[in-house]
Amino acid sequence: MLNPDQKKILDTLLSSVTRDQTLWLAGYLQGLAGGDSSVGNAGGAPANKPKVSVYYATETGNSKALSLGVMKALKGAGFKTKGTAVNRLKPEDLKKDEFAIFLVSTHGEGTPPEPAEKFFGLMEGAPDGLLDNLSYAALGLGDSSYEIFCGAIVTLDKELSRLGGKAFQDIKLLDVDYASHTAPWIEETVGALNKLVGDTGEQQPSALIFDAVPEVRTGKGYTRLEPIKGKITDIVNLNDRGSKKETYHIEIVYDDDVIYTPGDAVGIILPADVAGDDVTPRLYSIASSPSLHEGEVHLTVSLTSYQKEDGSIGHGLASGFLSQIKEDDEIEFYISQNQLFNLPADEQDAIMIGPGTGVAPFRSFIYERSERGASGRNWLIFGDQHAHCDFLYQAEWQEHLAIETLTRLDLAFSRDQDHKIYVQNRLEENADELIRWLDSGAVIYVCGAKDPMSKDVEQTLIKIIAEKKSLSAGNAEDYLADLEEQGRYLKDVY
Amino acid sequence: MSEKLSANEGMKTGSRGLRGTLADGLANQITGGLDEVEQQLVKFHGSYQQDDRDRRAERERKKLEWAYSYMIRLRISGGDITANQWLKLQDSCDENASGIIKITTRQTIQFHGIVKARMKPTMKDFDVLGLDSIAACGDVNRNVMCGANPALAPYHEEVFEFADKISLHLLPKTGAFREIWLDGKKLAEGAPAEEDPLYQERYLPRKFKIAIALPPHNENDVFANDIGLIAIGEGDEFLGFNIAIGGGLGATHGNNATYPRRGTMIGFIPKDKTLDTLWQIVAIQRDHGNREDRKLSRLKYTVDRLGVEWFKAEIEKRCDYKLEEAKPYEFSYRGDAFGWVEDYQGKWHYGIFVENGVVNDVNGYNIKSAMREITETEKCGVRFTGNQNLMLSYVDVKDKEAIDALLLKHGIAHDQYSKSRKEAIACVAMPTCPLALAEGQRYLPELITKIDGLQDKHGLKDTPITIRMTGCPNGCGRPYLAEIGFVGKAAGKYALRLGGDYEGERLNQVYKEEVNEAEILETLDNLFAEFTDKSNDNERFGDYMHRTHFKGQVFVGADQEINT
Repeated sequence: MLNPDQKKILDTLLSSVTRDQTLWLAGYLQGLAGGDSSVGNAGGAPANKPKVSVYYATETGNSKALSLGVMKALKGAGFKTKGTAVNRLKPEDLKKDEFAIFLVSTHGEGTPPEPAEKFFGLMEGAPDGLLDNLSYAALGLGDSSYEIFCGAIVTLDKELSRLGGKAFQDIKLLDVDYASHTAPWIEETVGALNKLVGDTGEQQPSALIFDAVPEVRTGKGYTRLEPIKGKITDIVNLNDRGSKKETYHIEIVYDDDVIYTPGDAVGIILPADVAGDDVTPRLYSIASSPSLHEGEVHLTVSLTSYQKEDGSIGHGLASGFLSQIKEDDEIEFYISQNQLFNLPADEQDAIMIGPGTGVAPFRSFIYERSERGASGRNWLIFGDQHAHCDFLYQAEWQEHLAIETLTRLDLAFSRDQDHKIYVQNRLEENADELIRWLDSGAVIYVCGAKDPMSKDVEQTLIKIIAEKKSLSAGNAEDYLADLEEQGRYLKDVY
Repeated sequence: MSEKLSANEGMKTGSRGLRGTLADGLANQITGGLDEVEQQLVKFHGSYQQDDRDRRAERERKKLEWAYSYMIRLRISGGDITANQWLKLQDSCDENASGIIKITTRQTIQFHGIVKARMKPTMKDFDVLGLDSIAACGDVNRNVMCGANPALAPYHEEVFEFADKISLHLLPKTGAFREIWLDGKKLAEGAPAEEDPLYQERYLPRKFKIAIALPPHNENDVFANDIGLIAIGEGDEFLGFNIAIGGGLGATHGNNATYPRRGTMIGFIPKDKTLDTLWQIVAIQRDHGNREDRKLSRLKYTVDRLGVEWFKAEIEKRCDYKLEEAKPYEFSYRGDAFGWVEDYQGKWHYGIFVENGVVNDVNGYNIKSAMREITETEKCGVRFTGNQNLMLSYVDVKDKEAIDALLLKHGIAHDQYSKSRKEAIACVAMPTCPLALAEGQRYLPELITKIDGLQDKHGLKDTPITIRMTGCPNGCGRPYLAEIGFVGKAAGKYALRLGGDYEGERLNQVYKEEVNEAEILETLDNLFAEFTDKSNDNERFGDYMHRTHFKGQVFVGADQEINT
């Protein structure tokens, strides 16, 4: 359709734009072509169908990816639609909706994704009858090996119905093999909506629903149902004498053609004699770089300890098992993808806050960016108890600093002085530099303990933004939420 | 002096009074170490950076840098502290360091294994006790030693006090110590460092050691010091010091220009001229010492290069008075008195044998626990000896019984150790000393057990022989002044030096260049047999070796006879 010159210009343009810019261009061109500026109304479907809001709550991106498929099907059927993360939503915001679809992942024992916690809290406090006009469908993604399966969507469903919302079809709960069950559910849901709005036409959702979904890999090696086998080639306790901790660096090699990207995790399948009835997989952030450490995954596993009733010390099932594993042992695992916690663009700067084993993905990031020759700067903020015995991967960071694949390293060792110093204290001390990095487009990553670390870090970030940008606390909170929406404030916390 | 100055010289002059970037280096948490210049500067503050060499491979495996830690050596003139100071120091050592206090061969103590983050807290603990570590290492006057044996005459107290006066008189004038370690006021940016008329900006070319001996005891080996002072009294009155210059034991393997040297007696100085004379001698070394080659920069080389007579004349010129003739004195003993000894005023002192100066609880001989309980009573002072032993000092006769009970409780008795063992010395060496080529204090005890066996075999059980070992030729354990000296050359290999005298007046010399344990034991077995058979009445082993095997002469270095 284009002449060669035109084609050349377009190719040149497309080769230089980011993914976000491509999406924007698609919308822009559609607008130029006379398309409706509100999405929808494609494929000759009835033009007067109402809007269906698609809300998702996600931690690793699966629900978000799914929302794109749902929206595409809705558009295909002639509905107007808008996708929104629930993170910044208030219950009152849902009052304007007549139809809504909720896609919610559950993490761990029935808890909602970390970014959605606030919304869940607000829903609990909302008054009865608030959402009398709402018809909704709910889909949960979860893992049936946990005692509370899909707890988050079940809770939300109860709250929605207490607030007066009416489910137009039964709640659907999907397990780790969800990918093969979503298409029929979308079809069913769009069909139910059509019925509600009185459309009895033959309009079918597109067969290409998942085209829009970014690289959700499925099958062998990607869920606990189809793990692969690897062999342990190295295990070493990174902590030294004088430490109260044991943190194991474990290297696994495998032959299967299973790929991962920095930010993904590994799910460990415990042997039956270790796990007993407990088949819950244990997820560990991958600490290796797929480019540098080809055919390997590295893990950074903290041995969790607790005091038993008789006073003796017990260990976590999985970390206890992994700490005892030997070289040449076989291990079953799968890659648990995380679409939301991944490398920034090569030219983008990265501020990585990862105390304790939270540093694991950043080892992957920095090695990978080094391999890619990424021009963006890397700033790592690490913390633990003592410098001399708890400084995970110290020698590697020193090497990265020497060859400048690490630009800056700030450290918070909480017990090396009388008063405790944590990563957020280092952020505060370096607030001006942090703002300079942010203003030049840096992405902030946080990995590690959700409570209290990630919450303290978040409060500190808000405080810094408020102070340095002369914003109210509320506006600073919005500023950070905007960053989060732009994919410039990413968390992998547990 | 046309050649290039050694690298250390620039570090000193560029340091703004020993500050350099030390404060920043200490605050840097990315590494537990300091940079090269900071490592040199921290010595002047009494500390060495070390690493546990046994653990390098393991640390690398853990993706950690080497296990860097610091040794801090205190400045304790004459080795005298109070019971309470000991108690608090032991607490600090338990909290911040390895928990094992090491008594050095220079009458002070050092802590080992202090990680960077614990350095300042340790220094602050010292400060609270009125102690510090400034100038305990580095190219300055080090800890001033003074005969530790109980005062035999009233003037001994006056001499003890002199040690502290000398130390203070020769202390660097910089405020860097307080600024860096004790959060003292910072020197304004760009402001010059404090004036220091003695050290100026360049400090000394090399370390400088001063010791005082109280005849007839010479447990400090005064002739091994840059300046050796021998206290001279008449009746109850203290007159002054005989002074020997240019002693020093360090040497470098394979470098014939280096050698151990016994101090040269140059005369007598009355007590009221002592401080000024010492100040001037240090200043002469500052002005004339070799600043190009650190291996040749100790005072001994300056004295030999310029001549003893020139040196004497220069002292007299700068001090504007004539040195008097040295006065007669006699040394008879270098060991320590173990058990109870009474002094001239009726106070009691108890000498405790501390093998290689390591204060710990070992095999039921629990010095660490004993010292804790005894010092808690505050019924004594604590003194360190140049032989790395401890003395409970100034005990009232009424308190002896209580102390005896505590000693007994912790297994402190001296008859289970051989005479040779009780007089032996070893330096720290492996695993923390960066200079060590071979083991020191970790190995000597078991070697002595084997040598004890040989002494028993040849009927020499009651004949103490001084045995000293160092892990490198630097000579911290003073092996050159032993009847049997071991100087580390490589793992398990030592130069065997024989022929020194029991009293420490004569250097020993190389008998075998490089021997392992089996060769050491075989050699000594044969020599002990020969000695039993052929020695004169009451002849010491060292004297026998000197007379027969070395023909009465001492050669060290390049054809240089040092037996002055």
